[in-house]
Amino acid sequence: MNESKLRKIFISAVVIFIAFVGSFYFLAGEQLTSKDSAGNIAIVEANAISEEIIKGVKVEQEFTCNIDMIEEIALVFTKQYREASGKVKVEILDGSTVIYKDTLDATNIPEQHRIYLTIDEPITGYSGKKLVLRITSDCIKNNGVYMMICKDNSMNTFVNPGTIKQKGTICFSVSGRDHIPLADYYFPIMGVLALILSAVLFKTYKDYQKGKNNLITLAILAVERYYFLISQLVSRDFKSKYKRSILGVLWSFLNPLLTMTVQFLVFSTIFRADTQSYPVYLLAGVICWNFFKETTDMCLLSISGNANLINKVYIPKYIFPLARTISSSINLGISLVPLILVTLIMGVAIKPAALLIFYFLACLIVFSLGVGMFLAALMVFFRDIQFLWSVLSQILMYATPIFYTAEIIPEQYKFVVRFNPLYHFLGNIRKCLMEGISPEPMAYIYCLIFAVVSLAFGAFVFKKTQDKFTLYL
Amino acid sequence: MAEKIIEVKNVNMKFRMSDKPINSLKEIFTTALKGNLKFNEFLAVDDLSFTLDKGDTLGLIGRNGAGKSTTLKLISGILKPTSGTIITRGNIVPMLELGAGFDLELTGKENIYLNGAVLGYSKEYLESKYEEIVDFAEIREFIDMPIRNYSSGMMARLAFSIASVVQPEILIVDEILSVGDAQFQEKSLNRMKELMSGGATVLFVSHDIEKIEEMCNKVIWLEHGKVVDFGDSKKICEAYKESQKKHD
Repeated sequence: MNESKLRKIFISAVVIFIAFVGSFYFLAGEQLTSKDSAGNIAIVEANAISEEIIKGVKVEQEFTCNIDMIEEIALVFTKQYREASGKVKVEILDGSTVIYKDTLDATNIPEQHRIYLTIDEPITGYSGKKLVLRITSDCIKNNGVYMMICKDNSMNTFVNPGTIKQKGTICFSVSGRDHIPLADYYFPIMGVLALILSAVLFKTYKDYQKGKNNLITLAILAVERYYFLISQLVSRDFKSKYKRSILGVLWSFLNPLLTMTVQFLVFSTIFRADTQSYPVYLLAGVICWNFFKETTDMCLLSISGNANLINKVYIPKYIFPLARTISSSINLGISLVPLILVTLIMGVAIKPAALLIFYFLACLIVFSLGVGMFLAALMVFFRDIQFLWSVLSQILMYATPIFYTAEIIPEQYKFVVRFNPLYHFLGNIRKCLMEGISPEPMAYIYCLIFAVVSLAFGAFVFKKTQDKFTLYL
Repeated sequence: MAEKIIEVKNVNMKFRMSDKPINSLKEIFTTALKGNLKFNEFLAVDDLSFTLDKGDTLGLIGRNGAGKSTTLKLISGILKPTSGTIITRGNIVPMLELGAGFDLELTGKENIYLNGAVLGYSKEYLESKYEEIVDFAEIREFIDMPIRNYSSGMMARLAFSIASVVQPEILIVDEILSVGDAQFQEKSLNRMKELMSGGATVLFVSHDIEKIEEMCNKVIWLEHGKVVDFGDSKKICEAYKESQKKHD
């Protein structure tokens, strides 16, 4: 390869990196700088009611604020199934200063349902402080409202401070977002990374001029050299896959759609209530799972199935799992079309953040390649792997929320999904696509780690064993 | 001094053979538990060293199982030696088995590109040589047909045409000169001679000692993986023939 071509590749790599950093900043939006607070207070289950809140009665609830930006509070009242009228005042106090105040019309307060109070300008600067939520009203007796209370809970609630002190917690929630400190340094960190990248590439370029090769130049040379072979193998996969079928490549669209329809018919009555636009949820799951399954299954056989080739001609052996992964990825790309169609039909607005799914899809592809290389190497030595894998992959399928939602898993079994890389990829893809918002920054790092570790491990095992392949094929 | 194209130094190739082939996890556990997981080691190539200069044509002779094919696979890079080094300079075309990687579902044309890519040809090269390949194989009218409909002779002709279209620096041939009918055999033999005379370094395995004598200037005589003799073809071929007669 000539030097100017290498220089062009390196310069475009840096430009692409910078473009990604910039576009990510806009696509991720405020999700980059803050995340759902870890200090959110959830509503407790009620088992009692407070004193009637009328003129002169104060209900005060102490709580410790561990939220950087309070955005919303929710309360549950009861009117004991009768009418109520008057104004109910909700305040948050820091000591004696009122930091938030809102007034509700008692007539409109729903019976034992959450009332959400959205705070337009998030309350900031009270993290770590003890705050008081105070509810008062100007209602007259038998016309007032009551707070739902949980008696067993140990937060302090005062009714008419100084007179009655009820042990318990009123039914309230406080939620908001925490600032992500590292995000303030997003541009500096990325700038440093860009500088490191440029420096490494510059060094590589200088070395190449002197005739020295490193991992980067070797990789580029390998791509240049084997690009044609890989493209031929990929097109063979496609041609022989659909060769004698009438609908041909249309199956790449139809297959996920049909699977989704079947699963929709089976599961919609069971899980529908939990999630909006269930078909989109399901289809995203089906597509990602099909990709993973297809890639790993095809990689598994990629070495042993090409035994005649490997024994007769010298080809770097990683080409085979790589080519299989690339053909599955193209299939994945094709099946994104029905996914987008179904998303639009279901009336889910596709926001710019949906573009972020490509990051997670890329992680999924790299992850699958790593698993595939590991399986391919193992398959050469132990033919049992193909049967073992069909069982293992089924376990993995049920451990991944494809047709159910992660929320239905009991807390003690949550680790099943927490350590399941497919759940992370899939969950984030769904979030970007269906909610149109980016996951929190750590999600990107987790997914990257899963992908890189998988590939590094798979490639390591593959490289260590590949010289022995021919002896066992 | 001529340029050294192939240098083989102290190459050993060890195969591990268990008494029974162990191919599954269960078997490996059970045999390991029984404590008889022993491998017989089999030296297919034992301390092989030789060098070839540009333009040499080397014949490998020896009885079945002497290590000839293993040597060819080692030089073409398909096998990695257990110890020792092999240095080759230039592009290698291994004609160990023709049509490696043919896909029966694809057409002749698609297979030309696929097989060509497997053999390491570039896209531009294949495009420029495409007509030549089709003409040489004499299958122009069937070129857009899936090759599962081809006769075995047609397939072999196509494979030979693809493999021999390139002008390699190192050509490795394992008993493949009998392809197709008599007419095509002659044509392919001429093509082989053409390739050999074109400055390529050739490694050539055959049991046809006359052909070796005719085509090669150097010969390696292998017996049980060991070199019996290496040098001028006339002398060694005579000696080999003598020893064969004694066996008879």
